Amino acid sequence: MDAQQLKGHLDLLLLASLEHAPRYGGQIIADVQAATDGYFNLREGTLYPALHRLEKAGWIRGEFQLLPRGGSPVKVYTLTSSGQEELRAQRAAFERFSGAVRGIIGGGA
Amino acid sequence: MNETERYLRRATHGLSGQARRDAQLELRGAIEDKIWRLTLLGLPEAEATQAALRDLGNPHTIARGLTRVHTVPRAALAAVLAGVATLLGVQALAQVPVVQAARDPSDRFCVYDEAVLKEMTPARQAALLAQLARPGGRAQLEADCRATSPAPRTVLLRLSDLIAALVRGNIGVRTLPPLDGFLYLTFAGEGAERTLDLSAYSIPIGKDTYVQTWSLINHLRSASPVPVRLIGEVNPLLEIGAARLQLGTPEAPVLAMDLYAAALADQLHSNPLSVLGKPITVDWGGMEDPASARTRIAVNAPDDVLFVLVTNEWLIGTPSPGGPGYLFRVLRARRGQLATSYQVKKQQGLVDTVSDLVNATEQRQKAMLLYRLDPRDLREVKLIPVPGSQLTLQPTP
Repeated sequence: MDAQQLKGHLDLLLLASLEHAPRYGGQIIADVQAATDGYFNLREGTLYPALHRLEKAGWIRGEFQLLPRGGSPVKVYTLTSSGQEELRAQRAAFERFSGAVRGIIGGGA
Repeated sequence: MNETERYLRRATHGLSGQARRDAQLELRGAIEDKIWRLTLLGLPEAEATQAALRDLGNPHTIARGLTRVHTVPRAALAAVLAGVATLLGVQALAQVPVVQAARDPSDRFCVYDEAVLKEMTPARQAALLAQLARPGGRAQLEADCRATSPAPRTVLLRLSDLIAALVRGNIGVRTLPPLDGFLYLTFAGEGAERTLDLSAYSIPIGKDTYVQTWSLINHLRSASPVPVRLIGEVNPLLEIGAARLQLGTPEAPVLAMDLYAAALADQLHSNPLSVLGKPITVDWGGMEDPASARTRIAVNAPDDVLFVLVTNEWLIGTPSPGGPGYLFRVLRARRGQLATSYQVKKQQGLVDTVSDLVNATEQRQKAMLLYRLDPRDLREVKLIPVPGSQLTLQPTP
């Protein structure tokens, strides 16, 4: 998927990836890649600025945590309650959008 | 300095202080995590480090992205510039793009349309149909509508000016030809596009397309991720985050009070006032004509502070069937007073709560309830109740 296509849905993708459990950057990349069979190849250059932006917006909260492997801590992100609201809104908007596109291009539902 | 440290310095170039330290710590954690996984696969540490850094990509790409997020927000910068513009006076303000306004030549607003029936409650539907069945019923209904919806409500904005002004304010605009007025907006720092659908109320005048002011305000309320506010009373500046648009011209003035009323009507529709969880219908009562003031209320507020007055005038007098429920009007403080055409003679008419207003209505007593309007963000207009017991009726001449 090219960068331009990804850009429009990046926030939704990131918020959704934190919906069920807190995650740090490396986990988010791996999760997104696994869930989409490698269709989305999220890179750090896109991921970290986006995570920081979502954090500034108050939708996610980052906290440094030590891992059992030792070494430097990783920054683990959690979805906030306003992030949950935003996720709901963006998910609904995406569903309206994709429904409208399906209506135009036809094909299987 | 080792390879990882060099990478971290490059990837956080442009950041400073705590933001830089945090970003470096986060990226270091990410790099070490990758190295750890690669060594688990059997790669020697030096090779694992090189592979991890390669995988992370160009450090300058990360730096560019992070700098964009962490440097002074555009809104703060614009606020500083706006302050400077005020100091420089009118000439600098003239740089704010102007959106030309016009009156609606067709004035279709108060023409009865069967489609509205579907949006009404069964009781109001029945009442409306009863009125329409009477001789001259429809003409009377439309006249009533015009009486409570004066001309300023139909002021239109030229679409091409609006788009140009949004673009000047750094809001990306994409149109969807041939639908006039259907816009996709991209706000700075936002990935997703937001739709601003003004097409339902777009009107061609000559070669230009115009859209309704109230439609713009109401759609911005849901589309904008940044605060939306108005500055000034006649031809106000509309601020959408850092973007600034001058609405209207001296020839075709736009009144801020109409736009507040539009936002509030929209808000009270989706989030109505209620008594014990039971919502009450509050419609816009139109503009207040200062010349016909029959009630004056003393308020402890400087000039231009906005208030919202909710009255039961339609429910107490001889309301036309299918007419509105409670009415609200936006009032502006002048010399410590608010003026309204609804006549309340007794101090008891100034009630404290929504529940008092409903009780008074049930007892067929004229009553009004006052709120102070907090105009900071049209996306959520805050109404701060002003208890009637703290207000004083002033004698009217």
